[in-house]
Amino acid sequence: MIQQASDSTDNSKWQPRIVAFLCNWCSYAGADLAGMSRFAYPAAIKIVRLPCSGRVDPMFIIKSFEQGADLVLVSGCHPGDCHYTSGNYHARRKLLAFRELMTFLGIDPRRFKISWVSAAEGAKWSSLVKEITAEVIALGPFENYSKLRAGGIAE
Amino acid sequence: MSTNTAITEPLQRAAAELLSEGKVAVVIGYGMDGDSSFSPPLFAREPQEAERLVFDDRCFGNLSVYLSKDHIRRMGKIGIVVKGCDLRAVNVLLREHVVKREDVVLIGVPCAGQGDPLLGKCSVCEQRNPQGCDIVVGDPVEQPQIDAAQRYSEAADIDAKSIEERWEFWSGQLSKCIRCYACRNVCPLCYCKRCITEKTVPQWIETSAHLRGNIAWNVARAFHLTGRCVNCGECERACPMDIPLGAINQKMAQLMDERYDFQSGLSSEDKAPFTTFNVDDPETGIL
Amino acid sequence: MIKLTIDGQQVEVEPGRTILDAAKLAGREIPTLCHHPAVPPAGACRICVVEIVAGGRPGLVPSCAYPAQDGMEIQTCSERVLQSRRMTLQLLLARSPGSEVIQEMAAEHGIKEIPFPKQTGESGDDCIMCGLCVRLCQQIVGASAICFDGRGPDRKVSTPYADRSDVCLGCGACAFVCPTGAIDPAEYCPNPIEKIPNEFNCGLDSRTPIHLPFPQAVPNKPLIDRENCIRFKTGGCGACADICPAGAINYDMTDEFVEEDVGAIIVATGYEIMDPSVYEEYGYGRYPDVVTSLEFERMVSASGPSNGELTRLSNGKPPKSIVFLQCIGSRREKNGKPYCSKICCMYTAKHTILYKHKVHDGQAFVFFMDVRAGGKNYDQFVRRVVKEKQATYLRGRVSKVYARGDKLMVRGADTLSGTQIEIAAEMVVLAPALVPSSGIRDLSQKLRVGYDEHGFLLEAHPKLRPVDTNTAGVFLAGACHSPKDIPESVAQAGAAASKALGLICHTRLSREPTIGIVDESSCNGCFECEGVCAYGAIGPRELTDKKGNLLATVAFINEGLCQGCGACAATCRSKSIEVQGYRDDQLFAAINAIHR
Repeated sequence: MIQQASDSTDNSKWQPRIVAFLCNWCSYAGADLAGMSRFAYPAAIKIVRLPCSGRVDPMFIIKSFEQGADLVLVSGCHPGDCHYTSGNYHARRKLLAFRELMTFLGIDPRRFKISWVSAAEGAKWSSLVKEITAEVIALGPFENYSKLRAGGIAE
Repeated sequence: MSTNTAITEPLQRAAAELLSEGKVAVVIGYGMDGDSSFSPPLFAREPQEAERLVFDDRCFGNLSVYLSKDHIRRMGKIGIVVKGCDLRAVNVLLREHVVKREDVVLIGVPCAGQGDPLLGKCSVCEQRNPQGCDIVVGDPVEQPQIDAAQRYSEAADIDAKSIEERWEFWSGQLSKCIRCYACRNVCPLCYCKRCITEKTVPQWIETSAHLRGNIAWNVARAFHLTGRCVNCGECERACPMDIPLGAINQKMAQLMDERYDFQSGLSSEDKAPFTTFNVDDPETGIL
Repeated sequence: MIKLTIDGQQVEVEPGRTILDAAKLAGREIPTLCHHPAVPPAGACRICVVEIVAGGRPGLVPSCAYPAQDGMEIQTCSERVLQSRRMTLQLLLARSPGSEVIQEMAAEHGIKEIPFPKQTGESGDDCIMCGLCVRLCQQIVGASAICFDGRGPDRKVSTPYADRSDVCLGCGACAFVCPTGAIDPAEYCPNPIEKIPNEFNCGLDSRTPIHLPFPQAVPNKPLIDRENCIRFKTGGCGACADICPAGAINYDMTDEFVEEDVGAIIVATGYEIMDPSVYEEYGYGRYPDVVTSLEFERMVSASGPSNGELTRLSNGKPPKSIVFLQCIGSRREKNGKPYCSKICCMYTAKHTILYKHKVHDGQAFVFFMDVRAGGKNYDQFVRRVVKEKQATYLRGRVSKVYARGDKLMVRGADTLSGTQIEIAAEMVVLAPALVPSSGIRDLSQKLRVGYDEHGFLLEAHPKLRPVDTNTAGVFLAGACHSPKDIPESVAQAGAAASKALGLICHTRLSREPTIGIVDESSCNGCFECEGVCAYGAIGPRELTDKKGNLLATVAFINEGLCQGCGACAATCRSKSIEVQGYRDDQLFAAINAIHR
């Protein structure tokens, strides 16, 4: 049903879809804490757990867009707090460069978010998801990529 | 076309000497081909073959692409003719352990630029006189000062467009891609034994020639070259569909230069920006 | 050894020892003034004279400077000795009539009147010209900042040319040894003389550069504060080494880094209290009688700066009324800590009891938000405080503490009766919020343990793994994790120790299988993965054919070192590294599944 909704050009039925890549030790635990603390946040976000934000390959993000994500979020530990010492520092360089590449190619950079959320920041996680969900609703469906799908490519 | 005799003659002598003394098994250089629009690669394996080596203003190719090819490495020690720009690619190959320094003899050629009119990359070349070669033939040429704005002017033209215009531009350009992979095959730094696009489990990049897969391929290609690409321009020259691939590479090079003060291939000792970090790297745009 | 007789008693001393040393061994007391064990003797004051009766040249000698000799027979209080001492004391009393030390000593020797005119004014001060300070400053401290100046009646202790000179270190050693308390280093030193605050007593008293860090320290041995020790300032002194009978003092010892290979780490770095002076309304730092609970704890402690006597810091009198303020910074969303510091309710109840034990007729008031006495027998304890000690518990907060006369006016709300209340207190005790030890962030980053916004370390799971951290082999105990009282800390420490032992008692270590593996067939051997590996887990591996010819050099992951972060996998362009459990095909499937 979601498939139908996102394929539809009727915006009233459209529900945003956010794919989030979270590091296991900080952001995933932060999201877990948000749940345990009963902080509500929109269900538009779907989480893929990774060991570390340093594990993120830009291909994950491109593939998510290809599959219909309206927004992709990568979230890791705050600088200095990486469980693996330096994974988030490497991620920071790569992901910011990736965003520049997106921007250069005309792929809306507002569709790709990076955040640092610690395992103690359940409240931050909740407000972050609310914030980016509101933003993606304001932006509407990611038509650049959904048009690519509609453009005669067999599914 | 004008053969640069001041370089060609000592080049032939040096190559013949290397080959006759057995210091190298092959000299890779540029050969004469009267009809061609460019001087094609020449693999001289005997001293007398060195007479066919030439240096002129049509030596477009970056010969360092052959350093990673197994069938050429099997010949033995390689002598290779490098312009300043080619040497940058050799430096990256050395840094990435593709070739060992002791397995190559670098024959540097000073170069005031290729093509008539000059290629875009040649007009902003900062390595006209190759540094750190084993042999340099010919006399040094004048090196004009180049500033950062000139260095990345091609990317700046596209950067000046609005985001919608850029999407319009690139979706048009990338739609043309026929996935021939000439850009990859000609690139000295695309030496992977198995390219990501050939990995099928999982298949991150759709292989048929449509815009969605083309974007994925070109993003992957650009990203894999970020911090490594030396802007030799071979991908763009090889592209049969005239996609301005050089601009993408230039944009990423500009980013590495501005953010991390890094230009690829200036040394074989430096660390690629994606294999290192500073604690206080720029952070803007992170929530 | 040298054998001699003192007042008929046989003593043995080492060669080179003085008669005074021997007398001490024999248990005979000889009065001294210019003598200090750390300073070479001068025999200047003549108060310590004894009589050699036999075994040497008979006569009176200063015992502090005269070496003991074999076969000597000494009298320490013969009539001749006492007569000499009395004469010396009479002369000293004439010179320094105001000195309490001399007055007491004279009284002990039955001196009431003196036949000499008493000096007054300039020429008659407490200084008895014994020169101990001068000898100390020259020979021990090594500064030579003070000397004798003038001759005859004008002789006095001074500095060269009576100048204040930077040669004076301001160490205060001269004042420390002066037998009559006559010297004031502030007269000589160009810089203010600062006492070294005793950290353990919250700076309420001072300590010497060599000191025990705190009572019951383990090991219970003194340490030298190099910044203040004269030995390290001038290379002089060394008095502690001279005096130490065990020869235990070694100035060459330095701090060192000790490296140990360990299988588990327990973090038990404890807490600090926040500085309550940020809340100006309570007047901490402005009024001496507003103290923190930790300062109060030291003030009422028998090993504290006042030996357990509770007095006001402003006037030295016992406080007849005292107000305890709870939740200073705790449970405060704005400008404070939102959490409950947990231990303050109980220690404040204890403090009110201690207060009543010290000041029987005093009245204690406690301003509280809630009394959180959730522990075994805790509530009964608080009730006993209210009932037996008549402590007045007021539910509400204090808006202002200000001085009126010598009292502190505490204005607050009693929310239960709905009235404003003002108490004239003589002491106010604040219970500041508990915060983690400073430096906890550096430590946690070293150990790769998470921490919350306040700096408290994060457990692996708040309910199921409260002692573990997310870093294998690192466990938590006590207040580094959250505010905790003693029984809770002890319980957690025991749990942490058990967990650590459970981990290291095995001969084989089992670990998560989520580590990297290399596809050797496609690895290019570029070793960019090596650059991003934080653990040094990646190295080269040479692939050879059957004859031993090198085919390729590829990346190799040491599975004992790899932690499975996947930075290598993200860096590998040819996708030749996978992290088990987070393989590319698994993540690919996860991404696709989201969009089904």
